[in-house]
Amino acid sequence: MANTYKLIQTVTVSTGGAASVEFNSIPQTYTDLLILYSGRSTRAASGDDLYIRFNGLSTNLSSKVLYGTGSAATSFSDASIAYVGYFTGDTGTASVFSNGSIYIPNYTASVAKSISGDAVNENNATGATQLIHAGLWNSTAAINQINLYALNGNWKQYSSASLYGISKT
Amino acid sequence: MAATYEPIATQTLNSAVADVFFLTVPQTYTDLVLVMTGGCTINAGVGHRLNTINTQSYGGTFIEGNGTTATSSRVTSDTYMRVGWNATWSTTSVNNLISHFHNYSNTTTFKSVVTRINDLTNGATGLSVCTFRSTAAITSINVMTSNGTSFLVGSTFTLYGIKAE
Repeated sequence: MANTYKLIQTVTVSTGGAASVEFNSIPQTYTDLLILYSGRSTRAASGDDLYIRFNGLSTNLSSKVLYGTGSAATSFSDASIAYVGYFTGDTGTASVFSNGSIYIPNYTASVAKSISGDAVNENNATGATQLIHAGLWNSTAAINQINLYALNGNWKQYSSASLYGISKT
Repeated sequence: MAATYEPIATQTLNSAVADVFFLTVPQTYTDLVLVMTGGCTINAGVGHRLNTINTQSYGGTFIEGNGTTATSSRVTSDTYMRVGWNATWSTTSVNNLISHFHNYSNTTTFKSVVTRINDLTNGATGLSVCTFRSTAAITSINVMTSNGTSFLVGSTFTLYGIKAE
């Protein structure tokens, strides 16, 4: 049977929160990686951006983002940060956690890595946002570590993220 | 255990070609996912032609952000399914498209395809929702460029089957 859509690791944030969610020692035996997360930021605002780094490095990253708030659609780009998601912030409705997915094709190939991110922070109130992201890590290195960060806060307790491996064989 | 998210076929290009084919798509899954990475020799949009049908049977609605503005557009009829509109695959970065074909094997309804588009260098991030105005089951997929230019060597195309059981 094909070795695909296999759970590699799940991280659940414990008391006190976490500066990042980290997946390390990622096996090199799959074709693509998929991260599904449910998260909330400690930022004292209605929302917070989620960005990604690979192999412990903060260079050669960029992104473009498209988002809608229910009344308008906007786009922005960043030349040094790979935005891939969005959180409910800590002033959002209590107990609401955002969810999103991050897809990383060809993560072991000796080419630049292209990342697709989808997210929603439905807030059960005003201030909800839907987002799609294109990220790029311009490195030929295979990905063996992933860190996910909140831009202006930490991951709040009870957040969770799971890493899956998808294989074409 | 359910046989789901199974790889059906994969292709990594050893030479630059303008068309990539998935023929004889099995009818045993519920949905299909097509993951594409790579680029084109000249900037181009990316599309699908299903069951080799090249009549005005395809429509789609697009939203994309190029890093500055958000735009939306629509094609009512075309001879192929333009899944990537202004967002192009480029020669200078690795891009990806992920297409979801829903209920592809039924013979009652028109077929819908949702595609996420990601091109950092020249294009945008975006989403397209397209329709194939045919009740026929999807048995073949032709991945093609909008202007006949070729996909770059090393581009990858993998078709997965998703089963609802």
